[in-house]
This record gives sequence, C-alpha cells and structure tokens, in this order.
Amino acid sequence: MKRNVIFKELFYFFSTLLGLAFLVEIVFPGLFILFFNLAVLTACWLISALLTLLYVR
Amino acid sequence: MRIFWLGVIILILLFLLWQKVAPTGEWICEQNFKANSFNFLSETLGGKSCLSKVSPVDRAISNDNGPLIVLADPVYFSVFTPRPFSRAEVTITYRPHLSSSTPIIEAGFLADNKLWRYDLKPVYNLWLEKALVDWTSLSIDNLHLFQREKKFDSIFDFLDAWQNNTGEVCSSPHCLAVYNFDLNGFPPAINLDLLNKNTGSLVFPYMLRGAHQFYFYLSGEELNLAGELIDRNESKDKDDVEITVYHGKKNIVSLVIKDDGLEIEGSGDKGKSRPFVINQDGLKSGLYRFDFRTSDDLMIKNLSINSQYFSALHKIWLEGDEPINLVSDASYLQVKAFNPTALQVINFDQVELEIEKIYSQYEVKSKEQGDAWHNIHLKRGGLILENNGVFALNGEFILNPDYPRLDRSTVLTTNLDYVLADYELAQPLAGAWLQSYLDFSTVNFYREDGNYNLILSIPGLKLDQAASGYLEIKEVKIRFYGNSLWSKIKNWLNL
Repeated sequence: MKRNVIFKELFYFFSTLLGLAFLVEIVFPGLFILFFNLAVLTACWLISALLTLLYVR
Repeated sequence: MRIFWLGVIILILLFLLWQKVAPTGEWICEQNFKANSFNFLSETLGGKSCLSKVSPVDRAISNDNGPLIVLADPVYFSVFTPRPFSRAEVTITYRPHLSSSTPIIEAGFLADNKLWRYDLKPVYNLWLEKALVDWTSLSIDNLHLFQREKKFDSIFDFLDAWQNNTGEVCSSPHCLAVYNFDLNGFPPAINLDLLNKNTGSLVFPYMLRGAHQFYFYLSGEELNLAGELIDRNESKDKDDVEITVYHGKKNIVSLVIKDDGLEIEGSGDKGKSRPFVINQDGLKSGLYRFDFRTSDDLMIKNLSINSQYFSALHKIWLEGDEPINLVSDASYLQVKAFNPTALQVINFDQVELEIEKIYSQYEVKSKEQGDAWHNIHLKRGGLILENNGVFALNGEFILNPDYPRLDRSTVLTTNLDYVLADYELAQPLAGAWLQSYLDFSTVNFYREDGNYNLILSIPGLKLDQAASGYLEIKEVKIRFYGNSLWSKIKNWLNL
C-alpha cells in the first residue's frame, strides 16, 4: 500500500476518533476520557495531519 | 484500509455504549496506589482513573510507586460511574499509624449535598480492635458487646433488657456507648418522664446561618414552628429551603420554600425577610427532630417553637454582632471562621481560644470533663461551632437523646459500663496491612457529573500535629451494583 494512502487514512481515522471523543464527552461526560488518553490521541492526530500535509498531494 | 478503521471506530463506539449501559449491572472502580510495575499501556495510552486524585492535595502524599499517605482529616475522592447504581461495596487496604487521639477511620459517600452530610461507615476503630481487650466481650456476627464487668451472658439478653427498659442495663446516665449501631426501636439515652412537661415556648435570640438540625421535645399534641428567612445573596445559586420534622424515622411535616428571586443572586444585597409558619396538630408528645436544609447563603431569624427543649445537633452557625451565650453537652468544641470579622477570642468553660485565621479549624477541650454541659461565650457571631454533642441556649433545657458515641472524645471512665458496636473487624494481611470492607446503599446518594463523592475521615488527624499519626492506603476497590439490562427489560415488559 502506498505511503500517502496510509497517512491519509490515518488522518481520517484520528479525525473520526477525536470527533467521536468530543461527541461522547458532550453526551456522556467523563466516559471517553476514562478509557482513552485524549492528549495522546490529539498528538497522534497532529502527527497524522503533519504527515498528510508533507506526503499527500 | 478504510473498512478496517471504520470497524475499529464502530467497535470503540460499541465498547463505550457497553460501558455506559453496564448491562451486567456491575461496575468496578479500582485504584492500586502501590502498583509495583509501570504499565505503559494503561499509564500512558489509557484514560484517567475512575477514582480521582486525592483532595485537598496538601493533606496527603501521593508517590508514583508507593502507598497514598494521608496526613490530615478529611480527604476526598471523586468516583466516576457511567450511570447511577444502587449499592456499593468498598474494600480498603491500609496500614494505620494512629494514636489514641485519632482512634477512628471512617469512609463514606456524600448523601446530602445541602446538609453536607456523609453516610459514613467504619473502616477501623482502635477502641474496638485493641483498647477494650480487658473488657468481657460477646459477639454475634458483626455485633459486639463489651462489658466492663460481666452482667449479661448473651447479647440478646442485653438487647432485651435495654429495649424493655428494665433498669438492669444502666445504673447511671450515659453508661452505654454505641458505635455504628441502629438505635431505632431502642429507648433514648434520656428519660423523657423526667423532662419538664410545661415546656412553654422559645424564641431563638440569635440568627442562624445555613443548614441545621435540631432536637426538640413536644409535651402537647400541637407543633408551632415559625421564623423568618433572609437571603444574603452572596452566592450565585438559588437558595431554596426544605424544612422537615421527623418523629423517629417518620416524616411528620415537610415544607419547601423556593427562592423568591427578587434580588440578584451574588449581588450581596440582603433580601427582605420572608416569614414561614408550620402549625401541625394531632401529634404525640415526645422527641422530634427538625431539619433545616438550605445553602450557607440563607439565614433564619426569630426562630420560634412551642418547646424550650430545643438543641442544635452537632453544628451551629450563628450570625450577628451581639454577644452569644450557649451550652453544649460535649466536652470539646471545634471552631471555624470564614470571615475576618468573625475572628475573636472565644471562651469555653473558662478556657480561652483565639481564632486568628479564617478557614482553619480550631479545637478547645474543657477541663471539666464530667459536667453535664459546658458554657460557650462568643463576643459576636460568624463562627461555626461543631462537636459530637448538641448546642442549646441553657443547660436546664439541653436535649440530647443520643447515646455517647465511641469516638476520639470517648474517655473510658467508670461511668461507662457497656459498649455496643456494629463493626466488622479489619482483616489482617501480610506486611501488617489491614483490609476493611464497607457496604453502602447508594440509591439516594448525591452524584454530580457522573461522580460520587467519597470521603475518608480520620477525626483528629492534623497536619501540624505529627504525634497524631498518619495512614497508608494501598488500594481502594469499589464494586457498584445496580439493575442489569436484562432485569430492566423484564420490568419494561412486566415479565
């Protein structure tokens, strides 16, 4: 699989996961952050965004 | 690739929904403060613990790889649960390093956020674990009777004699101390026949602030309770009032007064006084309790009742610039000020105590330990007075139907002949660790933003008194129980 496809899909994945996190935290406060580290997820999303910007045209 | 990550997202969503619903009806919150190895997955990638960090932080030392060390009383935790549950089993593993001035460890949940009342259960009681070894003891399950001199051969004989008031149990007042024992159905600690039946009426001369509980005695069949409410409007919240009168555990009268909303909350403009009246007849003469549930922003003035036997239970907060004279049946007094204008020198049984800082708790002990009541003199109001007894206007009409509690103020004097306790002895573990198990019905407990409020209390433990000791906590495990999804479905379908 091409590198640019992987980075693009990773960016979509983390974006969706963060969207899910905010949605869950609005509806059920405290539930998402009980199981997932939001700071780590945000860092992963940022890295995937950078990689997408660098390698996806 | 896309199908794969979408599948992962759906699985995460399903996992979160499962956790939210807790379909099995169980939820476990566990915190090991002495975890030996660093788990990268849970420590870094995982979320926060369901048990919050301890607060206030200065009352405990929290090491990464050591037990939690509690240095002062009380400490609080928030316990996250995805939904409300009806029961909680709390297991605490700990190592006490406490002294006779700090003999009790209790834990519990916030049950009433207006009265700020916690439902506390015993974790460890030094008196029951070690100090009463010289006494004759009888036990049935968790019920323990300690006798200074053996008089009863079984707990049932003792309970029977006590319940039927045969006079065998006590030859002197307050010969029995209790701990964590449900007194419902047992006679009060005072002989009501000896009370003055012409109880008259009373207008409480001082202004009260915040939530209070009172005991009073009615000689007739009618209750006349009245007063005026004043909203200080210092906090931004609405200040509703709930007044409830109980006879034993039975609710006799309830009155809810909503905030009038005439002034802006938080403006500091004192509201106009709003009178309230409770008149109820057809009552039996006897002991009653009056709960005044509200916020600290509300004051009650000109409180009047058709009984002179009127005593505030455990806590009283008086306002006003005039001198205040009270009595209390407890031989110690805890004092706290929230406002610099309240700072003063107080007098407790001729012992002077200077209240020099706000938000600090001060304590004074009477030199007259054996007296039936102790005099309190304040130059002005603004102080919160607390102890394990009652507060009244004068000693003649002080009313405390509660038996002395086996706590840090207990003096094992010759007056005390029996100790009755509902207490599960701590289980010893390797390394001098102890484990205690507590069971709570959490149905009406206060829960805010998905969190229950857990307290760990060691009365008398203070930061500035190294001799009072400390407590090591290795693990806290809370297992919550509620309705399972299946039982809910069966209820909906009426199966």
